[in-house]
Amino acid sequence: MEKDKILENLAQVAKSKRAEKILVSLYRYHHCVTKFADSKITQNLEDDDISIYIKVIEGGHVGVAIANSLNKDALEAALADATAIALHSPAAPQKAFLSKKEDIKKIETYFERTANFTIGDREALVAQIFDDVKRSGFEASGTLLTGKEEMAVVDSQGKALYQPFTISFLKVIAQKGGQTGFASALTRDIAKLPTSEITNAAIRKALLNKAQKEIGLGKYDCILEPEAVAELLEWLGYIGFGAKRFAEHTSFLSGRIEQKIMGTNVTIYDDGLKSSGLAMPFDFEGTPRKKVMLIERGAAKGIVYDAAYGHLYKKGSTGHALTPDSTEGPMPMHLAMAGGGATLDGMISSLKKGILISRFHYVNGFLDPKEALMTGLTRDGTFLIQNGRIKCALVNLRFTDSILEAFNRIAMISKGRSLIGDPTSDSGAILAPTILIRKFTFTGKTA
Amino acid sequence: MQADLFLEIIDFLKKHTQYADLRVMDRVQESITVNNSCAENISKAKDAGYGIRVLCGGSWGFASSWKFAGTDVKKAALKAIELAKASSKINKKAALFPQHPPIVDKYKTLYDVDPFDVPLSKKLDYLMWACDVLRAHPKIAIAIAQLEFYKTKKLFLNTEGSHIEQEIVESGGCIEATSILIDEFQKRSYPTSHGCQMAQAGYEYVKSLDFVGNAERTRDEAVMLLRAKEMPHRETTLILDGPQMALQIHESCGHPIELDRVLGEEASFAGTSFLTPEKLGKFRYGSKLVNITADATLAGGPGTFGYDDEGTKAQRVPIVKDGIFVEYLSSRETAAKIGRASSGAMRCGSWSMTPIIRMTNVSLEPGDATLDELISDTKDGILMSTNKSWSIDDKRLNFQFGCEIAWKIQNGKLKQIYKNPLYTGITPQFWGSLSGIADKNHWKIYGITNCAKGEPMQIMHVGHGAAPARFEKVSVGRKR
Repeated sequence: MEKDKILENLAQVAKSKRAEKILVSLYRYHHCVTKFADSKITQNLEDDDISIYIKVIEGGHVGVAIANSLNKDALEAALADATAIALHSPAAPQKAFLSKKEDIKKIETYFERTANFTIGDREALVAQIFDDVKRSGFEASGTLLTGKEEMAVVDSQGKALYQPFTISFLKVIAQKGGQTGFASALTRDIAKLPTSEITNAAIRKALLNKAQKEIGLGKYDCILEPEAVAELLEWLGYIGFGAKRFAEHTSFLSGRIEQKIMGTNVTIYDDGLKSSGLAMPFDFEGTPRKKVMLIERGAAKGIVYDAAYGHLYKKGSTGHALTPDSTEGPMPMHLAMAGGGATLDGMISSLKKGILISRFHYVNGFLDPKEALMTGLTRDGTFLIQNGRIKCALVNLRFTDSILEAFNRIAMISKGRSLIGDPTSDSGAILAPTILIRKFTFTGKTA
Repeated sequence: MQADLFLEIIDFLKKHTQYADLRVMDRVQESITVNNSCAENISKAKDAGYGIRVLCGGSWGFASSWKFAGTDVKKAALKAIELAKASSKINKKAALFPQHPPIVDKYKTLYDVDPFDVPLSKKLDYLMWACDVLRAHPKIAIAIAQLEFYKTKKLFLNTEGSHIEQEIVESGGCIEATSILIDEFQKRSYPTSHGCQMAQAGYEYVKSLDFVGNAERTRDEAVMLLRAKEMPHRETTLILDGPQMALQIHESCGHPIELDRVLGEEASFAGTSFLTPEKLGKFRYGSKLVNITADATLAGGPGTFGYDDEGTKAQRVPIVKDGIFVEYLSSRETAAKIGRASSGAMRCGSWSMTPIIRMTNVSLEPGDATLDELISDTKDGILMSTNKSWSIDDKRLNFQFGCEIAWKIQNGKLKQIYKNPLYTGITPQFWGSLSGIADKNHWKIYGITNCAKGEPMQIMHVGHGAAPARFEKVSVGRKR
């Protein structure tokens, strides 16, 4: 990790006085990825990349340039590009803000044991997964990722922030023909990565997921496990919880703050500071991340802001800025749904007839974002529940339903929650419980 | 690019590996987005680095870096070897990797005007004009106009002696109008949705898209959609326009023919495929009218190149011939597994990524009708335009796609419009119902620039040539 060099080089740009205001943010990662399929390592790689974003503000005009080198000449060239863009651009008063300097909470996000996890350690872990999965009569597919990341923000108003991170992620699919089972885990501290638990959970699901039967389409009481819930929450975050969509009136929250839009048992928030999530103390503008209540006991409560939209709404930034070249506006990256008091077993035993869904595939929330109308398919374990027990596996099913309406029909929420996410995507990590939804609508099935 | 330094590394790798290749890439990107005549994002990005892939003991290792000092390049090479050796201790079977003769060549996109030579002010004038036309109705709340340009220089070297230099230039753009009522919004996009329509071409391409000339229709349709009825659910004849056909080809043909998916290598992320190897040459994928081609040589296509990222020459390959599935998109290794030669589809989204099988330009060959003839031959049906939502299962069978707008067809004539149209089907049944394709005058190349695959996830620009096409007995509208 190169804290001193990073802060020094970024400060030279930010304090260059080449423009009225300058923001420099950096994201660097070194990810070690072992990808396997059919109990064979298909890719074993180390991926090292860096992005430095320079935002220049001059008289209400904004220019952005991105470099991928800490080399002073490269940074100087990027600063010149950003300055030239600002000079020739139309005014962008809505974007011409830097967030104010605030105290940053100290959070432990770097674990030496994750950073020092070697190629040999990865090899041993993957070999163990192969052995365990094969012993159960299946083959293993999946991904193991460990890595180090750095984030830094320096600006012309005196901010100089740096935070190192580590990351570890494992997903396993146990499979034999069409019989598959999936499980995953994500944590900054590899000592807390429950590798055996994940492998065994994937095997257990695969053992159950045999001789899939068809079922008639229509409405079913439905248990969604955390992987499935997280995918719906991710889409809700993307189409509805950011200030840009809200301001443009395309969010399902636009004009509905304080109104009841989901069931009173539903509370959804974003909290980037909790170590139970993938904590990140500040955003790409150097604003401390704040906990934001989005849905509280079913009522629309808030949205997330960056400096520009915080200024527009006179609320201040909540610490949810993406990189300066993004056109998405602020986004929640640490969504969580509050847990209830139920258990998965309790949900299953409560159902006379219903469906248990392990995870979704390819959910899309653009059908009608104002109603959060979404569609998607089940994958790697869909089960029919009859008389309080899992009766058989089902073929993959397609749902099409308004998630606002579906979240008005949640009957039970588990106490336990799982952290779900993919560290190589830009969508953050989500803390999701298992939920039981009444009358979830299924509109198709895989032949 | 420091070719000498990398040639030294290739010599080193020749002594210590069964096979190795490296890609050095240097990319410049310019993005301009205007939102309601204000600058939303104007940025320029420079990105350079290299990736080294090695085969040792029958297994692969890959390492990448953005640091160009000789010691850093050597370090990356040694890391790739270490990773490959670690994999070989676990893997029971060695990778099959057929030898290729060395290739020494250069390839460059042909274009008239280098987009990076055009002043920002000229690009902004073009976008602002289009934006002003889009905004000229009070119901339009969001008017977006966008341009994007890429110039990518690539050096490919391998231990077989290949030395390939390529320069790819891409230009593209789009406009989008969003109309809003109190509790509803509707969107129309041109030429396609979800971002810029890209081509391997110069600035002349974005001028040819004529944003200003198409802005009025785009705006007016967005406004009309606010008053339109929701499309009812039923089974009917469906005509898809070119942009939606591109998406249909992408999801239900382009992905399932990727041989790494078929062989299970993407099982933990993107999924697998229903087009399993025993179906090759026998399986009826669609009606006799369906001829699909993967063509990496297609002039202007976003998926065009001289050589793929493991040095295989660009090819034009029939994928579906007269309705029968006949070929995969493949790599040297995956093709060898099923006894075939690579169809040249190994591509990496960045220097930091290992190449994986990606689409090139996967296109539906044109038919012999005009769009007017397809419509006038339809007694009762629906015409849908421009993708809005997309979802397909992990084997690429069950799909549901939404479009921005639909028109009812009655007695061969376009009638009322519908909002929020969608249709659903099972891939081979759907393509089996294809009853007409518009001719080459309606055939255009569309770009999909947000195609995500792989772990770590790679974003790729791919192309699809398509003309409007007609399908029978399709389930349309939302089932409730």
